[in-house]
Amino acid sequence: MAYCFNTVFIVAFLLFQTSVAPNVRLYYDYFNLMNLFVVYLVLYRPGQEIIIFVFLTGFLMDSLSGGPFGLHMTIYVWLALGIKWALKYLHKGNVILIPVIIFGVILAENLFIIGMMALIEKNFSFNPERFRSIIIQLMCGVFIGPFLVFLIKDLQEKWNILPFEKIFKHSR
Amino acid sequence: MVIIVSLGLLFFFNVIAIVISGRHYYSPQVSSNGHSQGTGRYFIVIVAPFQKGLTHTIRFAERLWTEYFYLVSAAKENEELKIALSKALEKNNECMETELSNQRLRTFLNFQKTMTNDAIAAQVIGKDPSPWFKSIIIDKGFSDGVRKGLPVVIPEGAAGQIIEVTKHYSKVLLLIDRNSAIDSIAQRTRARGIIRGSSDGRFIFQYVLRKYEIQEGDTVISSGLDGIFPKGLKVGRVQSITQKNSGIFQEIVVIPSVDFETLEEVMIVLPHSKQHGKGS
Repeated sequence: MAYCFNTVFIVAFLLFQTSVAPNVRLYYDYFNLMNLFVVYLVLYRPGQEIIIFVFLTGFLMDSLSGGPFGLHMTIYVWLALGIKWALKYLHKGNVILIPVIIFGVILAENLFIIGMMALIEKNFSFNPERFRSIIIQLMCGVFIGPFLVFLIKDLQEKWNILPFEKIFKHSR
Repeated sequence: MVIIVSLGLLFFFNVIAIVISGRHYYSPQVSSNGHSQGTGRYFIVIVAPFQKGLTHTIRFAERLWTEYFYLVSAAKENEELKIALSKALEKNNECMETELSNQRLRTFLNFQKTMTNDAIAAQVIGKDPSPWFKSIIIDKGFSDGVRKGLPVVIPEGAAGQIIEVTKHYSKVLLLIDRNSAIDSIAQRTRARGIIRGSSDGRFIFQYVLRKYEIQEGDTVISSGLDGIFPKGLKVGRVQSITQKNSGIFQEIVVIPSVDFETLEEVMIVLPHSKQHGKGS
């Protein structure tokens, strides 16, 4: 059931990011909501689930994005490894932990993309305007991100309480 | 120590793989049947119908709001539009006269009319999930005649190029994406260069020789020399020019003529062969 929840949530996040947000023009310099999902997976889900869904999230992002295929998959895998490593030295229950991790994740994602662009593009030049965008993404991530991560965790717990197995047994 | 070295090597090969994937992704090579070969197209098929449904629902709600609640302002606007229409009709008559004389002159000079291709309309159903890349998903695919590499335009000018095609949906790389380029000319001076996207939503007009006197406000159009975009499509307007002390080129910033944030419907320009196929 957790797999089902994760799949539904990833697709819902993607649809929100690609079809709802651009149409209602909620925000312009938005940060990538998928980062939060990766943070949630690494912090609260078991190992096998993390591997499957980190790859799936990256694959789905690469499918819909105009970037080179494999870019987001790579970013998420390395971010997941990085967070797992950092958790060895950080206390999981600390309130400050999640905003710090989200800040690091958004920053790392942006730096990785800039680095990849510099390698792929022949005449790469970093536009200072992008600084503004990255700062807005970081601010949004730090202030909104933790609430969304807790929201996903809360929804997951509620989802687990739902009597799916009983429903399936009755339907048989 | 071994783990760190292994991870470092893994990361290195990973980066190399993406660089190769990135170069291949933006290359104009098309398979023999004209379809794209990317793995990502499979997921577009699954998600695009949901995107389409959501987009339609949101636009329906928007239309309901504008059409119902703003009826009062619509009536006022209607009056203004009637006046504008009568003026436009006069202008249209003038344009028809100009076109007729233009046609006569073209025949006389044995010129071909530049825009002779067929085009199909498509609706934008999704935008890029990453703020770093600029692409859209449209609701037309290879069953409608769309092929990888075809140009996408709107009445205001050139918009982008098809980079991924599925049966009913396609992905379009917009001109403001850093990986987009279009061969262009300045309409007044006929100075030729390459328009490239930049991350701030403007274009950079590259490789324009210093000898050309480009001015702010000059219109930039497609040259048709890239073999993708038809000649004469509006691309943008010159915003600023920088001439450095050294170098043979000038740096020109161009404001796009298309508002890429509000794209809703686009036209895909079909190749000549399709048109001839239809005719035969």
